[in-house]
Amino acid sequence: MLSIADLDVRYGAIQAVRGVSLEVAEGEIVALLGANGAGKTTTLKAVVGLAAAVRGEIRLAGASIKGRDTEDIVQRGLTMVPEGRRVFPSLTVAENLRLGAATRRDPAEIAKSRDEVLTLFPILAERGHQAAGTLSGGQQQQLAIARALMSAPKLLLLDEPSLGLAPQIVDDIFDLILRLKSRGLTILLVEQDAVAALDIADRAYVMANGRIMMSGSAAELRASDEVAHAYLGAAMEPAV
Amino acid sequence: MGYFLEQTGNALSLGGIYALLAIGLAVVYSILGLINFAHGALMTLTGYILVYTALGGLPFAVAAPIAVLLIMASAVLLERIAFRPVRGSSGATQLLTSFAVAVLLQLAFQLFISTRPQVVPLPALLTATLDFGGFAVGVNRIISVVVAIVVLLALNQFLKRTVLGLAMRAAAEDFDVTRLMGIRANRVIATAFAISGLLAAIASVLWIAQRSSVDPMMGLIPVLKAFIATTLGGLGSLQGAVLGGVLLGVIEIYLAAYLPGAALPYQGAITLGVVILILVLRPQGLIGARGEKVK
Repeated sequence: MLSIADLDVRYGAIQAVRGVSLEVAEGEIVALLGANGAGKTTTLKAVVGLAAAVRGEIRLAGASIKGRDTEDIVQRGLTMVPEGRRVFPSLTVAENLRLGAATRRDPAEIAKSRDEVLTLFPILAERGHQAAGTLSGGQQQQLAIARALMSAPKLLLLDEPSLGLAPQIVDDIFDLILRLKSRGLTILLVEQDAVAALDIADRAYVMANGRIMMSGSAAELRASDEVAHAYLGAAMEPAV
Repeated sequence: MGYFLEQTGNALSLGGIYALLAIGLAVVYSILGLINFAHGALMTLTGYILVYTALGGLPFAVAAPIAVLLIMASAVLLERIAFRPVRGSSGATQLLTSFAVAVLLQLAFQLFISTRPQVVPLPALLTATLDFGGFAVGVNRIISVVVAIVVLLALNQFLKRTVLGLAMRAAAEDFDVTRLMGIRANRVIATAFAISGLLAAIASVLWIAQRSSVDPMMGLIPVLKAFIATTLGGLGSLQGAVLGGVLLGVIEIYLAAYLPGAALPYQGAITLGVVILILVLRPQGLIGARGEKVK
């Protein structure tokens, strides 16, 4: 579904992403792991057209999307949930959801998506007229995902959905990601919490200093000492 | 009592014009972080369009909407030519750009039109007054208040009910994420300038309806006042701009009406003193705004 080949991205004077290649097949959850500053978010930004790729190729369902407008990319079925949730705080929950469908024109189709999304996130139906900034962190993360789903994506990019949330809430969000997968959505998940991400991912890539250092099935990476020590930090230390 | 009601009419009329100008500045500032001092030149340009359409024989009621549409288009064009090349640069660069545009347009008016005021012929209706038994209010004042209220209500509906309006509010809070929703940055910014042009032109028509002349500097002072109003209300907050504009108009008119004769020359200084006092107590303005600007 998504294919990135030999991608270079500069961020000001810094080359944040160097020669990254990765594949996400239809129906998969693929995790992109690595420490802070490894280039994960920049990679996602390049995919959605918010950062300019200086070299390489990005294809969505076979068609090149490199250098295209974000609007065009969203219309083709790829939407990103940004790091830190970033709901529009003074807009109501309903208004946030409506903006998620900004690229769509058919009111009936939009209403259908909204009903589906509100079934998936009942709390958002209750809070429809509340300003998004007054929601709890977990609810805001739900809204950020729900808002992205309003564009009817085939591929969802999730940037650090666990960031700043209590462990119990993180479990809920990861359960939800699995449910989205079971509904046929393909997901590229960027996470620092490697343990949680590898629990739900099919495959994973590990980034450091702007490069992909390692890739494999989630099970292989979970078992790998090298991954644990070199790239994922203490979180992967065996609990013995 | 009659005098008080007359002055209240004047205060609301002036406050309404300040509010329209202030919100025009705030719409652009909230999204781009740009304080557009060329706003005043758009006001002046509206006046000259009214002068030439009147010379061409068009009645005021036809000329005014035409002027408003032309100024909306000019505002969008101005963004395309002058502000887009400096988009994302520092606040100082953008501010200087807006000063440069303002000065260039003002010089063009002086060179190609005249340094002297030009008469804008007004229909008799606008110069009439209505007698309410005990006090009289000019029709132009009443129209000014009504138009300001209708325009602000319509803008409010636009910002609440349409996707583009929601996108404007969203962009004022988080521009990058608004783009992530698949909304084009240029579309949001062009809309901000179109709205600011619309409001500058309407404010200009209302301003001229009380003065019936235009000169190259006409827009300078009202837009400076509008800038004070946006600061007073909370820079970047649209509600704040309205509140600040009305408040500034009310303070100015009541001071002019009720200050003892000896203190009258200090009316401007006292007005600004009140504004400074409010800002000392509430540095973020009456209604603070938040949000990341375009980088």
